[in-house]
Amino acid sequence: MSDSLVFKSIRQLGSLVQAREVSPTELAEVFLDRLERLGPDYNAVVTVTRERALREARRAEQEISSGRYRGPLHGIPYGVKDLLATSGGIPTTWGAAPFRNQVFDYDATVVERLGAAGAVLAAKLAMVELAGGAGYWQPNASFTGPGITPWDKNRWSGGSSTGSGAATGAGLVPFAIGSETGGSIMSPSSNCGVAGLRPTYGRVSRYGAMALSWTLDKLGPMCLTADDCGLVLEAISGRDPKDPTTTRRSFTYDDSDVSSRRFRFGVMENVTDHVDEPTRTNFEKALDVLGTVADIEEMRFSDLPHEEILQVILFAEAASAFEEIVDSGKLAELTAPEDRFGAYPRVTVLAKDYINALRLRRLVAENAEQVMSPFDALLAPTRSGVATPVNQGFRSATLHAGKDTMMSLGNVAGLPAVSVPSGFSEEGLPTGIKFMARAYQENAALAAARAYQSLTDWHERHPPDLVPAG
Amino acid sequence: MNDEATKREVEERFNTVKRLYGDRLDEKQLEGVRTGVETIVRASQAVSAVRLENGDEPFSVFVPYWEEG
Repeated sequence: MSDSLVFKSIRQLGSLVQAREVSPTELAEVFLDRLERLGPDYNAVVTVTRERALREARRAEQEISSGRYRGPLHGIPYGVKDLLATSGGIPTTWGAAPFRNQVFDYDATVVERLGAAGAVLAAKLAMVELAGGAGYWQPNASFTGPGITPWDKNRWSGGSSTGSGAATGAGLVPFAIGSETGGSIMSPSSNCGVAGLRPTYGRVSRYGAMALSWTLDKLGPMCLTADDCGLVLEAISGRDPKDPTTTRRSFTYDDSDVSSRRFRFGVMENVTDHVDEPTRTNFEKALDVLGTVADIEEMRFSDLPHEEILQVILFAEAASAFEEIVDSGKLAELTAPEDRFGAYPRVTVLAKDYINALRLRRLVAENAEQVMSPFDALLAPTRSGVATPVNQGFRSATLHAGKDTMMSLGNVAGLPAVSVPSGFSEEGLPTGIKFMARAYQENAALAAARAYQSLTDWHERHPPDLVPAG
Repeated sequence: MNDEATKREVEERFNTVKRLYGDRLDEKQLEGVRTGVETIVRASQAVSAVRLENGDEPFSVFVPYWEEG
């Protein structure tokens, strides 16, 4: 029974737990064992929280036994990117050597909310140091080593939510929490062949999360299916007085049947101009599949410097967020050589340029709303290519170093997106397709992704050497 | 801004970083800093190249604090 619990969705595991066919303690033991045994192979784990996990699992078991079932996350193990504060002496390292012994005396709001839903914290997961905030340009940028995709031990899992992607894709946890400032949920989801949801900015409280860029940072789930992402988002979203940017708009996951629904999708013109061959081929095949349930039209955004707007905002805010780290000289202790100087140039961002970027941000958001309003979602390849080698700089390794407008615009405007697997390259590396929706329309993106997953089986394929025998 | 002006701008900003932190950076790292400064200057130029009207406000609007509850 234990082995058959791996690579089951939250929806499936939740049914088994509710029916008392499997106990939360049994579930916790299965995934704690995998985290401890297999986690190091992928540099996916910073801390296995065994003691806390078993305590939370026993409590879940008692509650369910006494008829107090909290919902689909009750008794389900999970991991969080190690930039979320956790109490109880569990380190929160931000993936960076200077912070490897850092502890907090409180739980981040997301961890609190998952606890309230009955989920079981099993691990703090590896990440790129400072979530890439020091400017890394190659995978070996974490004190736990480069993140490795479960699909190929010579390829990268990131970034920067490397452990969240790898642990989910390797079946070490049923789901994980990642964070995105400029691609850090979408990219590892694609590299690791899992589903990832970047929520609307302000949908999920960031209280207790390391700040990289206050107006860009978002927390979201990484799971085996888009449906699971909806379940997790409902649990972690909502207004939090401790994070004043959280929205008062509530989110209730709409998991209604999409089989008879007709969609309308947009595809940005030239969206595959700068992607590699397997990603383009798989994206075109995905459009053919989606064409059976949707009208798909080409569209374009206004000609604004989306990537540069993102850069100026990110650099200016990171310069402030990391001022103490820079001034203290702690950068010299980081793992990646480029991270030891990468944050210094940011002190030269001018205030007027930052303000101008924020002024342009409004134009970007207004244009996005206008252009996207006819569509349920926009479609794009999640990344420009398959996972790059772990020993290679990913910027220079990118076949076509073109701008990723969908990523830049989506993050500048704070729009939600869901990435799900779209196939594999000839080498067996996963590719991803992204569904990006208007602000607060996570349900539209999720419905579209669920429809795609109902027509394909990419999400049911897992790294063969990680599927338990029998 | 032409290429010469851009180079001057990069050098001026680079010298600011060097003055503040140069004592802890070696030559190779300083070259990396120069490249980083150039990225920032070019991004800032691209942002400044878009015409904005006087009334185009930043998207982050200040809201006076009011305790909930």
